[in-house]
Amino acid sequence: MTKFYYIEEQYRLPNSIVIAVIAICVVPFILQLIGGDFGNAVHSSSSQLSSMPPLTTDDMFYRLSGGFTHALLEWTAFSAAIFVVLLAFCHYSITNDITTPVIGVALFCAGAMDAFHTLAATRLISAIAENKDLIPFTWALSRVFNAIIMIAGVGIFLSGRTINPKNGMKFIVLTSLIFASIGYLLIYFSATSDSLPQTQFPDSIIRRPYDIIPLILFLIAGLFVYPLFAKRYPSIFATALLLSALPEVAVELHMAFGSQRLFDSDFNIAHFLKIIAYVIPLIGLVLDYVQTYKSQIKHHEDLQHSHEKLNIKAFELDRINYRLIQSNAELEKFAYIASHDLQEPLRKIQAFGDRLHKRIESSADEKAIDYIDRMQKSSTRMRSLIDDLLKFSRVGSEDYAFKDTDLNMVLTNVLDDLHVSITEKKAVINIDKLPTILGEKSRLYQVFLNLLSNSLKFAKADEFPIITITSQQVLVENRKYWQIKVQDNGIGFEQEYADKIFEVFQRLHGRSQYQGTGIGLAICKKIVEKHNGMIYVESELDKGSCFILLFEV
Amino acid sequence: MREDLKLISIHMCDDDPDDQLLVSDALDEARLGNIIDFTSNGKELFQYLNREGDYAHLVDKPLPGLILLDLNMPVMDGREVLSKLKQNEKFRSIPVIVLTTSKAEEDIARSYGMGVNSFIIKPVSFENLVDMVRTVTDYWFHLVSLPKK
Repeated sequence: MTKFYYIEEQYRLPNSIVIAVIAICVVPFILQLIGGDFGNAVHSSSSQLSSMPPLTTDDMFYRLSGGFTHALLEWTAFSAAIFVVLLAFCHYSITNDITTPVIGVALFCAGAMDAFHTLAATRLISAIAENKDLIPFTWALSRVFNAIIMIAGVGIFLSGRTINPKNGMKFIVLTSLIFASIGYLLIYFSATSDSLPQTQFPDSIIRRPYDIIPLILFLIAGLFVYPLFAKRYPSIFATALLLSALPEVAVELHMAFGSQRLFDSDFNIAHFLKIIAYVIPLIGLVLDYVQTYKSQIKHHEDLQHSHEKLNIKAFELDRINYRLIQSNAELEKFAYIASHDLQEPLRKIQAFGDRLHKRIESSADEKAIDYIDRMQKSSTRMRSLIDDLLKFSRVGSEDYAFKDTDLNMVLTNVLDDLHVSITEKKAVINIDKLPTILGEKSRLYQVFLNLLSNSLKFAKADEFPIITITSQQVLVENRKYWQIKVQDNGIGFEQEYADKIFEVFQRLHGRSQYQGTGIGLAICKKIVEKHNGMIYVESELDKGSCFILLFEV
Repeated sequence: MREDLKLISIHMCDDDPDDQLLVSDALDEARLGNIIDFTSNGKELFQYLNREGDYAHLVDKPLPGLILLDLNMPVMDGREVLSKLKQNEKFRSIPVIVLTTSKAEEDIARSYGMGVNSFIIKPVSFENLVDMVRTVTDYWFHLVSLPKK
């Protein structure tokens, strides 16, 4: 039970408002108990008036003070209803929540009925029925209508059916039309009936039995309908609606059990409390706005904060990236300069080694000749290492000029240059139709030259090499790539070395077995990466290797 | 004829004493009798050509018939030497061969642009150096006709 009435903190009304509402509902009653009177003075009946001297304007106003008070109180309530419906539509335009405008319209229709009652009471509109019956009847009517339409307006949303937000406006218009039509029909009926039922019974305990109906209805609304609504569609407005049941009930208590005649103390208190009943939903809507606005500001601030954080992160990343690029470029430059400068002394070692070799040749010291031979071989090897390192660093540091490059042409050049070795080894080379990609021709030539030379070099001793080059389009992470496969039937290697072979100077065989420094595939990888591509290998020992290249389409 | 040739001297401007020694050895190895002398930067080269300072005593000797020029040198480098030589009335008819370790395209293009006669990358092995010296002298001292001073 307590859970049913529990309202989450963010949808609560401020305590001060709740306390104030309770106080406003109770204090007039207490004041009345201790002798306070909020009623308007009674004036003699119209039959006596004729014998009295003519009335001054002041007299007329004094006599009508009850009516004025009533009209002002009613109209204030109606005004509040107008504001509620306006704010409710504003609320809808911001939040797209259709409950507010529908309930707002219901509340407004109730207010319109109050307005009709007021206009009847002030004789601004005349009806067929007698005024003595019309005024109390329209009051009772407006009260019953008020209770029913509010339960109906809120009840629509409790049926469990959800309304598609796209049809929101249609739904609002439809319910508004229904509410307004019912209201209008009732007004029309009241204004055109010639006899209206009696609604006031000053001598019984329940002086206005017709007010018992709205009393019960408002009790049902306050105890079941509104709380259920506040549970389903929690908002400050829903909470306010729930709270508004309190003054509504108080109104009916004063009217049903207190008021003996028009404009007496209970009558005025009831009318005053009715204003409160309209004002509370209005406050609810206003507070909803305040809350929405505040949360938006907070949201905005949070966004800005995270935006700033992101900016800082992006800036840091930029800086790290810049530093990386710089250090990479420096490294490549360093490798170039270092290897370039290393060549110079090496050239001297070789040249003077040659001189020494020449001079010692004639002597019989074979050991000395052997030593010098080994030195010479080492320096030759060092020279090729440095040369390769230089090539490798150039591949990485130099700028590439990308153009549409026909790989068929590239392969034709490669085959031309490998002609001797292909013929020597009796190699069979099958090449598919290859695509045209964006790249630098001379570099791509280098890649395929290295790959094909490797395939020829690492051919099996007892089999003629067969090299097959195929191409197809593939999707990698939603990007289109040309996949080019270079498959051979050579000696292959174990797959665990697949990454190692792309590293600089990494070799899987002894130098005496196969020549080379181990730079070829490293250069291939570097070139392919410079083309924003990828290269990897699938291989099996004694079965052959398949180099797979990916280039962006 | 042979006696005439011996009179043609070669000058090498290179800051590397090893290279000076190797070229000198290569000339001997090729059994070419040409006199070769050396300076180690552009400034010295111009003193030598103008017979100034340390080279004043050479005032009566003829100018060299061929200059081997290194590019990277301290004080005044080969590039500056080239542009000065080719602007000089007296020296611009002397054939200049750039002999350097630089393989940079830019150096090659620039050198020819400034009127160098040949651009040769220093050979790695001594044998190749001997071949080079033989070819160069054969070409410049036998094959082509040069203006008589």
